[in-house]
Amino acid sequence: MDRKHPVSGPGILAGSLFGDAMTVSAFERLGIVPAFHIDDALLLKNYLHQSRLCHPDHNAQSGPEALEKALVESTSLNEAYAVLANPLRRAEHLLALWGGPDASTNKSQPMPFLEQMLEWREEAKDPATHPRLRIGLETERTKLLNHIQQQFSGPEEDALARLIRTKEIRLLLNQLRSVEGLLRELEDSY
Amino acid sequence: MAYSEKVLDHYYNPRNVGSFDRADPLVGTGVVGAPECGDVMKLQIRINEHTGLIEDAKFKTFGCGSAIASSSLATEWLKGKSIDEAMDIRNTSIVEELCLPPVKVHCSVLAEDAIKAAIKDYQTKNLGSAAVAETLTVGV
Repeated sequence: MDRKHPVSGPGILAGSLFGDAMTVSAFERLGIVPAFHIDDALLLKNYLHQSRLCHPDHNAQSGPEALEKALVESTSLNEAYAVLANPLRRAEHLLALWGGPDASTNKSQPMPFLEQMLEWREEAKDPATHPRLRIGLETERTKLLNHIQQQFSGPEEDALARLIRTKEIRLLLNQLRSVEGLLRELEDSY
Repeated sequence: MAYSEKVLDHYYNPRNVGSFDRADPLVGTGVVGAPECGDVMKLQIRINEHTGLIEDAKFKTFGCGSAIASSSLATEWLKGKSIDEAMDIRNTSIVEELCLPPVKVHCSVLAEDAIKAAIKDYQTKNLGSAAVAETLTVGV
């Protein structure tokens, strides 16, 4: 398996955070340097390359043990790809590698954002507003992703600054979850 | 999943829907949300300035039936209570009263958080004005 890229940088722990069976991070699994901003083309290339190697169809002739192994490997590979290909899941995974709070331990959202959510939800009652609302939500989503990117790509710093940063990212991810949730609901109502 | 009769009752006949003027110093406002489902709950209390008791409560919730029922029930319970009594309302009592299943316990937690946030807002507002009043007295 191709693992050319070093993954354990300062402060980054290799964790088993997107599946219990995993002992490596999704980044490591796919040979991508752990960061929020990643090279999508490289991700796809590495994924396709590795998935050819461990695809069950490719290993069907090598006996039941090899087939079983191929099944397990391709499942974890698909899961790792799904994590990295989705910005929210990628950010959650990276935050976990940074040792930040997960979605169940910190659910707080800033007051102005909650007020804005109240307004959006009020508007959403009238389907005629949905196209406009969707544009507003997409804009908010992009804004949040940009802030998340900035927080993840900040300068190297001491442990305390890093801790504060992980809390800030948690707050941003909580908002992103809310926005994506409402976007999904609008989608479903069509 | 079937909702209990009590949840359905609050869902179809929600009590105390609406809002107060949040700038009113006698009003405390709590807004809380659950990122995992995007639910948002606004709960307000209005304090009687003579008795210090919660004389009225209103809510507005965007979420599932259990979230609506939890906040509706909370506003019913809040009326007539003192701040201290209101602080003692636990989500477990809401779960019990509405027979919420485990997957809906977070809705009752949201309601408890909203109550606490509303009380904190009221207290912050009034601590502020008390401090201002004191400064004015000192200044005089």
